[in-house]
Amino acid sequence: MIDLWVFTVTRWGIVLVTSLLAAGNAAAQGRAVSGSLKNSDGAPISHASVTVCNAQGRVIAFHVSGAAGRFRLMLPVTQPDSLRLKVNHLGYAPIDLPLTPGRERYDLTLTEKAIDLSEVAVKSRPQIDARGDTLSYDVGSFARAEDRNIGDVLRRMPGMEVSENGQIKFNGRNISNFYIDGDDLLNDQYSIGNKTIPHAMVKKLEVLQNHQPLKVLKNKTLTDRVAINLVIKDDAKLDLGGQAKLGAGLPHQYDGELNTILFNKKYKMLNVLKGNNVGDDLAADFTAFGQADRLADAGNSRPEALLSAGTAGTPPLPRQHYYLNQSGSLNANNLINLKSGLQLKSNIHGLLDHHTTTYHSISAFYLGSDTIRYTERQRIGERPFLTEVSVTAMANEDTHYFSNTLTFNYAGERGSSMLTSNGNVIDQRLHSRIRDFSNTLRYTPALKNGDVINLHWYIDHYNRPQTLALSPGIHAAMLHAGEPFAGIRQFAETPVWFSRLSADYRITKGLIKQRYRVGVVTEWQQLRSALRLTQVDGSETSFSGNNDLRWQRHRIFADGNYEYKRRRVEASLLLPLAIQRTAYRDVGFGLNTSVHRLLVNPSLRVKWMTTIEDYLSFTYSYGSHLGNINGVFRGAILANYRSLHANDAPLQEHDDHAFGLQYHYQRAIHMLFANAGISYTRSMANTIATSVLTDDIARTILLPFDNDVSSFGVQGGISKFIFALGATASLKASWRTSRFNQFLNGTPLPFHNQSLTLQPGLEARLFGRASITYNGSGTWMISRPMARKTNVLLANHRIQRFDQSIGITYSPFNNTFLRLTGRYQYTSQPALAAIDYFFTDANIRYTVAKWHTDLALNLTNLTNVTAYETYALSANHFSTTQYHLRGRMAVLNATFRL
Amino acid sequence: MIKKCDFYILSVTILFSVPVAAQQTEVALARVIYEFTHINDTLQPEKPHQEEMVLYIGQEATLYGTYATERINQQIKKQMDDPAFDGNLTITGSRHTTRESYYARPADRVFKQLNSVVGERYVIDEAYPIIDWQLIDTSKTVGGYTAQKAIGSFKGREYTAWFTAEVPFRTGPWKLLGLPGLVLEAADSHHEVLFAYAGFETLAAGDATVALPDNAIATTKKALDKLIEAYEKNPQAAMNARSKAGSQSSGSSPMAGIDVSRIKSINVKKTETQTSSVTNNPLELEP
Repeated sequence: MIDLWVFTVTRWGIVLVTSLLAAGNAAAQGRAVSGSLKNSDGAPISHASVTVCNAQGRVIAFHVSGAAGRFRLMLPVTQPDSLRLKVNHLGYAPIDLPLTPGRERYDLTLTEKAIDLSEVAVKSRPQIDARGDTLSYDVGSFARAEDRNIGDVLRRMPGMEVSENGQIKFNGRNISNFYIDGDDLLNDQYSIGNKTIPHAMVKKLEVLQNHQPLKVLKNKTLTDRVAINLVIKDDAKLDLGGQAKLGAGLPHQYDGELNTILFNKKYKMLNVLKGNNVGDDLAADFTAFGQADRLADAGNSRPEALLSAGTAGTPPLPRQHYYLNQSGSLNANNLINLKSGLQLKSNIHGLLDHHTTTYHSISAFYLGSDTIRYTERQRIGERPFLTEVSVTAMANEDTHYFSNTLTFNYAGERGSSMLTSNGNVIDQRLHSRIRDFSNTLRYTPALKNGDVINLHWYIDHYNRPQTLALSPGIHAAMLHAGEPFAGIRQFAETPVWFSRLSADYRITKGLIKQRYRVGVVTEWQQLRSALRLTQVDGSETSFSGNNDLRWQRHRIFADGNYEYKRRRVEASLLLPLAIQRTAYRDVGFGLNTSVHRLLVNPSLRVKWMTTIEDYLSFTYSYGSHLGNINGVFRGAILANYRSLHANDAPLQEHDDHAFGLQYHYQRAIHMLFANAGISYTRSMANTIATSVLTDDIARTILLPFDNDVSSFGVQGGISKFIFALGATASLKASWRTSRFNQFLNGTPLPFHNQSLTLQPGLEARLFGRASITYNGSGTWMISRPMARKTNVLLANHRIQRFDQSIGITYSPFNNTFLRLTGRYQYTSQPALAAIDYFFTDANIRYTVAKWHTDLALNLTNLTNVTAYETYALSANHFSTTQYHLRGRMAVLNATFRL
Repeated sequence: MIKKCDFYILSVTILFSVPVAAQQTEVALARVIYEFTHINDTLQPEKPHQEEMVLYIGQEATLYGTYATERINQQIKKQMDDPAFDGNLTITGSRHTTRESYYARPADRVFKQLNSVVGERYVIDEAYPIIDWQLIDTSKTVGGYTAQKAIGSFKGREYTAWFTAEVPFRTGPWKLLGLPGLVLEAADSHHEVLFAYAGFETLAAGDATVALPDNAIATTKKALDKLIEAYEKNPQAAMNARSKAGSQSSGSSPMAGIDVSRIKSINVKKTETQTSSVTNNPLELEP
């Protein structure tokens, strides 16, 4: 045998290339070697590797042992010398023995041996060795020529949804943070960013799933938060950028905007100045999407405003259709990252607005023996303003997290209107102010053992003084013994101090993740109200029964949260325990009460995967709740020109049970998704609202009667992608029935409401450049009294409503974009004529790349619908409201990139 | 509309989550990295599909798939561990990535293809690849290991494989299984397919597991192809098919079944792909 050795140098070091002139290679097979393998217990070992090697260690024959542990190898006829038989199997000690000439059978016993990887020689590792189990998620570039802002692009990304108010959802979940290059510049008031940041600045949009904003908590708690991060292009980071927008249109329309943008590593700013009268509600830019959740999490239930200027709500249409405005706003957001790791941020918001609303409504209350009707015609001019300053300092490190946010908000509104109600003409003025100050401190250090402590302190002062002035003096019979007088002035305010201090401890290891929390919540409130009558001679007299109600509530709580996830079952249980004392007194009414309660409000959620794709989930929660200050004041408050509110009952307590069962079915491979569920809620309260209605005024009093409200619902949805058409068709349906009690003019009226809703939808793309969407909604509602007295007035009430919209978008060229939308609404009610409306809007956009300019023509309300009527139905109350809308409008906008 | 390559990234990335809980989970004992080259378009041999692949080896099973995702993770970790990290991740690389990965359990003759389409994972049964290897009494050193030559034909190609018996594993990349050692390098006779060795290492318990994902949906090749075509044709409508059914699925969202606390985000910088978009020379020339 001749061996020829050749050495070559490659990137893997010296590679030995051996060329062998082995004699026996091509030879026919000759001798057989066979045998069996078993372990020390005598059980056969299958799937072990049996090889025969030559002197050079090269395999010349191999076999894998079968189920009975047997093997059989054929060796070449001409065999090299000194062959060895080797047996290898992970989990057993290897066998290496010489093949004895003449011996054909080898029955071997393998000794078990734990796998010891340290015996495995690692001679050449991969180049970079860093392990992680991060998922990458690239959302790619979805931008089209017609897009201007990041919001336009975002809307198009799969799974993303942008609601009418600008809130972003990903797979049905609200996003928790809107980062710009990793910094949370805009807090949860991010809609300005969506509307302002040009998509051309943004390199990537990252979706951060299961996002944990606190570095110290990363990988330590389960989170289902979703956040997005805009990664800014390198060249866009250097310069101050901006846009100027000028728009003008018919009739007498203007729309302007100036913004400056700078996003670099150290300093970030987004400052926007805006003004318009085209119906763009600038207050929407300041919507803090997480505010409601934050207040609810803290348990800070601010009492609702006591006074209002009218009884009509807003029409179910996009705001731009009815918002007659003159608005200006400033939105200044600045952030600096200091070298020490501290981040300072300020958000300053200002708004000046003037808008008018004109409507005419008719309300009818069907009583056991009577029907009481109110008519209301009003043209309200409102002048709201807002100033909001928020300053944040934050350090987000691996070992700890610290943040402190201080917010001041001073806002207010002056409204004046001429109101015609049941033939009386009333001059009405509502003046209100909001003063809000809050500070949030959070400190989260990680302990050496990996567990985490979280300290949280939130303090808030909030007050909203309101004055409602009416002239001439109305309701003289009730308020002034029938004597005429000149006017009414109702003042009300509820200053609130609220503080919540809590500490929690997380055990981040183990099968059940646990969190324990203790805390103290304190709340001081004072409800002050005064109802004054202006006499004909100009002097003011006080109407009896002014409120000066002092309220305090203190709660000490402890809760445990347990999360379990294993195989097909996922469960979480929250067990809170609280001791609460509520005390309130009003000397003027001889009221001095305190209520102690032990509150246990557990909730449970269990999810069971029935198959790989389908699951059943069950939720149950029990809550025992106490009412707030608005439920216990004794002195009458004129909430609006025709409603007088007072209470004559102890503090409302209600116990709520909520059950839900949901089945989710999907066959993703066929793009079929469906779900169905039932829900049942039952609430038992110890008080009930009762109304005494007369032709001019409704007096509402809370009375101590048991009130049982229950509601049962069934809902389902199905959605299917139709492969042949490349379209998604969907249908949602729900049916709900509820029973509740209502007291009217001293008579209890149990009611039963039922409603059925069907919502079909279709979404398809046509010929690549056009797409079409359809969404429909049909609602059938019926309300009837449960005690079927032979009374015609308490007949059943039914309403049917259909709302359908269709949108077509078409982009004939890369720089031109057209959108046409139509919406048809139809409402019918047995006794009244059906009403229907058809709205169409069109939008054309053209980009002149050379000039860095976008031109857009917006045509709104092409069918020029100026009067819009709605029906509303609740229990025995039926109302129709007619609103004045903005008419047809055309606005041409030019946007220049600076 | 999503461009095709984005779609690939989107789908592939979710695939390699380093499997979490699974029906038959086992600890990965070691892994091998291969530099895979495939001339998929014979008219443009200078634009081959090149990709780093990884083979995770457990006691009973192996899992083979793209290594691109982990490469991205490494870059992210490297950047984030840098004290000067400013929150901006720059990820380069990621050429054409392979959508499929392969799970093999030789003792039971189980071979499955795993595929992921926008978050949902699918599993397809395949015939266990059987190659009649012919051992050649020739060896060379690959990555420090002495590797012996073997030749065998599979799906229309003649492969030369170099395997080592110096490590206690008997497996190989892709479908090149059945040799009495670990295949470190393999190439076909036309030099159109190459699995080049790029590193081997043992893993500590907990680094990785070899498993079929718990929530993978069993399906067929035909149904999966139809689904992929639908997503590519109208991604938005296809995505909405899920959400339009109403009440968003709390757990069966595309990310379900993945250990939630382990997920961060990555931004894949799109580089001009060097891979020819035409495939006239598939890996498997015969059915």
